[in-house]
Amino acid sequence: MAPSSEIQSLVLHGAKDLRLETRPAPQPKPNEVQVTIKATGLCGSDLHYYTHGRNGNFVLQSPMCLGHEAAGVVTAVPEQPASNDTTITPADSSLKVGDRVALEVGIPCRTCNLCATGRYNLCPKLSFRSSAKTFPHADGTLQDAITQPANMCHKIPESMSFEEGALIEPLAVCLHAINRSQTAGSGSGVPLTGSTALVIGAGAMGMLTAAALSVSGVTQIVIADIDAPRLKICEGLGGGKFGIKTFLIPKKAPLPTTEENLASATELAAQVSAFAGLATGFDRVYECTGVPPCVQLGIFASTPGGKLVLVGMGNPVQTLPLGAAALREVDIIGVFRYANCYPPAIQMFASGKLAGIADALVSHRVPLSEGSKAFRLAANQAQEGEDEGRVAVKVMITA
Amino acid sequence: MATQTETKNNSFILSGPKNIIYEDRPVPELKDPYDVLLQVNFTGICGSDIHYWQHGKIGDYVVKDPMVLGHESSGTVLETGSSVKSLAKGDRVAMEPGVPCRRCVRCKEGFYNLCQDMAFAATPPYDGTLAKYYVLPEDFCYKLPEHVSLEEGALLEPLAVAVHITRQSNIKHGNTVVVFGAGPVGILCAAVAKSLGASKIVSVDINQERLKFIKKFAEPITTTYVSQKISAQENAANIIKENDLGEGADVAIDASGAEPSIQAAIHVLRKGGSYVQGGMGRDECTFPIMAACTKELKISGSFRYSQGDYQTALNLVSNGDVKVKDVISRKVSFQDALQAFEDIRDGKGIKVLIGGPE
Repeated sequence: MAPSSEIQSLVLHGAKDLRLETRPAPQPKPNEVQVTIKATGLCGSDLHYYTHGRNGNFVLQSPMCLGHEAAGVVTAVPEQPASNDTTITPADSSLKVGDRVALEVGIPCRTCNLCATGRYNLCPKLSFRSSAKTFPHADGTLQDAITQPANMCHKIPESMSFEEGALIEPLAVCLHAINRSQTAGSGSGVPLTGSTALVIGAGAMGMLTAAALSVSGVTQIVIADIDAPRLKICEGLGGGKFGIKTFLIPKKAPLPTTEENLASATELAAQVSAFAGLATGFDRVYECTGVPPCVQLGIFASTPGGKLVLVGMGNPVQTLPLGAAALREVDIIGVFRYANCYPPAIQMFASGKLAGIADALVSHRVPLSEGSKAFRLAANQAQEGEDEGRVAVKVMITA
Repeated sequence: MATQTETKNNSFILSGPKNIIYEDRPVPELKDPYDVLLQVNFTGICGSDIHYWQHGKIGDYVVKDPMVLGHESSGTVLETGSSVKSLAKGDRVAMEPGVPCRRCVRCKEGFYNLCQDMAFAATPPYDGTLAKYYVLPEDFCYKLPEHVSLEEGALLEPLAVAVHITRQSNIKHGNTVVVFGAGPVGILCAAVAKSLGASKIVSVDINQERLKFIKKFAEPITTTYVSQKISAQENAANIIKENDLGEGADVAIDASGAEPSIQAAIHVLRKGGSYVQGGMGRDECTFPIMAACTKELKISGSFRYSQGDYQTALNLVSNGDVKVKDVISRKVSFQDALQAFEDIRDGKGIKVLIGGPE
């Protein structure tokens, strides 16, 4: 597969302004490889940039390619460095042309305290593709090819498809959340095996979290959402053998006062716990929506001494029943991306335990040239007939 | 020796080293409103039972008075105390045989297995479960679901030991694990490690029959290695090389108590790896302490089981994750119990169950 000298890139110039542009193909510098992208999944943050030209406080300052959940194949490696050139550290020589890889696209500085203590996801100088947080912006993976440090390209086995490879990034987010639900806060909590977990939100993140929890030995998993079709997909995950139970949350308009809303969340929590046969709530709750009433539900549905992980990114400022958490020693745990989670995520897929997950989650596949359609689908703003009758869970741009 | 039909509570008793008698003991009574009277249905034999039988003691625990043996049991509820809510006559249960005091510092801290005054079946001076009847508090009886047999229920005790050992290692999904010793505990540790997401398991022993069994029991991620009479470092290097363990294994569990295994386990670990001492052997051994130091290994002991382990063991059997039925080599009647002891002493079979007196 000889790399061509030109590539196509899907560039965001402003809200809803995506343009397919031709660029020279990037050539790998020492320690890098060139990767031809085979699949990129779209994430909520990509959608925010597309829809609003910003993601919270990060505003697009110059044209930028989106996409960061990607897998591809190595199509060029750097030429050998000159033998007396001591400025070049040894490249990762284990990657060869033809190797299939999942891409970890956040490059940390590796020298700060956070990097040195294993929390490189929090590195202040971390440069993340498709994020306007740092300037100049690092282009995302919605291109034919990119160059990437070799040590941030993780080999995937032949048994994994590129679509599964593109799910490694969101799965890494889930695994980081599950890790943090065992290491953060006051002690590790009950062992996962035989424990109970509530996942709030049946989007791609909720579904992957529920699947990963099941594979990790959690025996009672309930996933809750307001959308029945998404819950139906959850029931069938893993051919039904994940044993994920679903709970339909009645759609309700917010009530006039905070007190009433919290009372409503308390009652809902009692119903979900009763549904699972649990007297005092769930050992761990993974909140995957970011929506305030759901986070409130998460607090009330945690058992005393439990853990609530905030996976979903929603309103950064929320009204929450802090006392209900603090006075029952429910740890509220934030998570941001992932650190050292790509290898176990790949291992989880390679083990075969997540067989069928990609088919269940990847609802739509669109070529790069029809990028806008992919974003419309993912944003639930598809034009007539575009969704082919399927609810959009994970939309992928595939080559 | 009284025949079974004439006795009320026929019991299998160690009256001195290598001396077994059957004796009719008084039927135990419910003393506490939370107590449950059980008829014992099956009991498995453990290395400790053999050790007391052969030597009359284990370390500081000396059999001074005749003692009923056995502690790996399942039974059926006959009577319940006035405060018992979750069990009723006829319920089939797995029996957790060690009742802590619930009041000492260790109990209140959450480590009841380390209780100062633990009353453990068949550890002197407490009688064991190889009798017709036994009394336990409600919360030490685990009701078996319909599809789990009483035979499988008797395997929950060693499985809970394996669960505790594996938890002590802080094993994470994708970890590589080396288990030294392919006896019942090693076999069950491999199965538990597999269910907790180990990516590779290597089982090490000198007994090729047992290695064959464990490879099938924890397939497909389990490989085996036959220990050779070479240095511990060389055995470890071979294990690493033959199984592509890279810098070394993430977790090593000793379920053998044998010095060469303990040494090899330390050498097979990567820097920062975890070691758990589950196996019981000689009191002291030559230990590669500098390797442990410079590799910054996390080293833990493991003793019996604590909060949640028995339930986890039941969950693993109930889900079909660990097929304990396959570990049962043979069942003998209560009258033939000595045969079970002789089998295990001679290394025959893996787990032999003794039926309760009729």
